[in-house]
Amino acid sequence: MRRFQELFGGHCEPEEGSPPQATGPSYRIGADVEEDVDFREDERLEIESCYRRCIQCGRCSSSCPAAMMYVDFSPREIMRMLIMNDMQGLIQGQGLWRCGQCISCAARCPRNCNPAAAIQALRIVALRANPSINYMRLIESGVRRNLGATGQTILPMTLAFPEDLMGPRTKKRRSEHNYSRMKVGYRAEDSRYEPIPQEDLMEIRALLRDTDFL
Amino acid sequence: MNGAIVKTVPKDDYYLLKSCQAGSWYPSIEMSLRYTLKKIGCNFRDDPRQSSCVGCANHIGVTPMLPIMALNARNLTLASRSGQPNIICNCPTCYSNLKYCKEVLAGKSAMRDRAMEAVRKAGIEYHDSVTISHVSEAFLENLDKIKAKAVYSMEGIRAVTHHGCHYSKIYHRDVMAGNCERPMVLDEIAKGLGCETFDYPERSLCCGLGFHHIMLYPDYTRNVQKRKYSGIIDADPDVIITMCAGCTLSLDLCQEKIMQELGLSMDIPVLNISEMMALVLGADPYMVGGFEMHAVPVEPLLDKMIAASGVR
Repeated sequence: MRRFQELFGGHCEPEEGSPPQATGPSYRIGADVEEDVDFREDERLEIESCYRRCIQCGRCSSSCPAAMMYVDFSPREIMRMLIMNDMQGLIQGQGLWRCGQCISCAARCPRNCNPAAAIQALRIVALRANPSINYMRLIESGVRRNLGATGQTILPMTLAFPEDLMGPRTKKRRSEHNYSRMKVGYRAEDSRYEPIPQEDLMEIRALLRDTDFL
Repeated sequence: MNGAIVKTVPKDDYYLLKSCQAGSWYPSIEMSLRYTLKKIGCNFRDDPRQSSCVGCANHIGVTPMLPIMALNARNLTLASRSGQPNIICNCPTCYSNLKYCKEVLAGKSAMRDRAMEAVRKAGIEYHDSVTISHVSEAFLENLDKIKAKAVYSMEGIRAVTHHGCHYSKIYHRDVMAGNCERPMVLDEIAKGLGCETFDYPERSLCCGLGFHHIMLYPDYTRNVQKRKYSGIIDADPDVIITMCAGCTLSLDLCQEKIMQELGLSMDIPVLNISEMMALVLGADPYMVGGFEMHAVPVEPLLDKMIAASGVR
C-alpha cells in the first residue's frame, strides 16, 4: 500500500502556470446519500441496471469472477439490496469494490439487467459517503490530477505495478520501460506521442470545471 | 454463427481515438496501428486534440459520468468535424464508453442536458456524425489489404485469442464476428493470415486486470489468471492475441509469476492485434513492434514466422 500511495500521491505535478490545483474531493465525506443530486440523476442506477426487473436467478453471480473468490460480494446480492432499497448497506460495505467490471453479469442476464452499471453509480456515491475507502479516494485524486494537468486519465507512472505478481525477469524488463519508450520517441511522463495542445487543454479544463469535476 | 461476420465497419477515413492505457504501457500498440494503416493505404486522422475518454475511471468508480459525458461530447465533435469521421479505438473501454456517451447525448436526460450546457459554454457546437469501431474490426474489414501486403506468413502458428470484455460484453449484441460468448474477431483475422486458432476453457474470462484490482486486490488477478492460464496451456499456443492494452499488460506482466505458481516454466508471447498486424506487415520489431516493452519475450514467435515465410 505504501508504494501505491507514493505513486498516487507524488507524481504528475501540474506545469507552471497551469490552472488545475485540484487538491481533493469537492464534496463532504459522509454526506447524506439521499441528498446527492448527481446520484439521483445517474441513469445507470435505475434505468440501466433495471434492478426492478431482476428475478434473482443468479446467472450473474455464476458468471462473475469476483463472486467466485469473495464471500462478501455477488452481483445478485447487489441487485437484492437495491430491490430492498438498502442503500446504506450497499454504500458502507466493501463488496461494491470487489467487482472487476468484466460485465459478464449484464451479457448473461436473461432479463437484460446490468448489475455492473449499478455498481459504477453506487461507487461514486460510496466515494462520497463511505469514510473507510481512502485508498479509492487516492485513485480519485490521481485521476483528477492527471485529467486536469494533461487531459489523460492514465499516465505511464499511474499504475503501481504489482510487485507480488511479477517474476524477476519481468521486473527487470519493466524497469527498462522508460528507456524503451523514449527510444521510440515517447516521453517518460506522458502517454501521448504528441501532447495535447495548450489551447485544447484549456478547453478540456473548462469542461471539467463546468461539470464540477475540477 | 461461429465466426460469421455479422456487422459491417467502414473501410477507410478513420479517426484514431488514442487510448491512455496503450500510450502509457505499450506505446508500440499505437505505433503499430499507425504503421499498419499507412502500410495498407487507409486514410486516418491522428488528432492530438482528443482527450482521454475516461472510461477506466468510470469503471473503477472514481469519476462521475457527467464530466465524462462532457469530454466525450467534445471528442465526438472533433471526430465528426475532422473529415475522417469513422472513429477507431485501440482500447475496448474507449469503444464501449464512446458508444454509451453517444447514445446518452442523443437521448433525453438531466445528465445529457447538464453535459450539453457545459459543452455549449465552452463554445463547442456538438456534432455526432461518427461511427465507432474497435481497431480490430477495421483490420478484419481490411483483411484483404493486409493479406496483400503481408511480409510474413503466419502459417503453422498456433494462436489463442482473448477478446476484451468491454468489447464483447457491454455492447454484446454488436460483436463483429461470432457472438458475445464466443467473439471471433481476432480469430478471423489470425486465421485469415494463416494462423491456426484454438479454443480453450475460460476463453471469455476476464484477464484479471480489473483496473484497481491489479494494485489493491492482487489475489483477484492471481486467481483469475491461474484459471485463464490453466486453459491456455492446454492449447499449447505460440502466441496469445489480445485487443486491449489492459489485457495485454495483465496477461504479459503476470505470466512469468503465474506460470511459476502453476509449476510450469514456459513463455507464451502476448501480442496486441495492432502489434501483430505491424509484425506481419514487416515492421521493425523493436522500433515499432515494441518487443523490448513486453515482459514475455516475443522473439521466438518472430523466428517461427520468419521460418514459415522463408524470408529473412
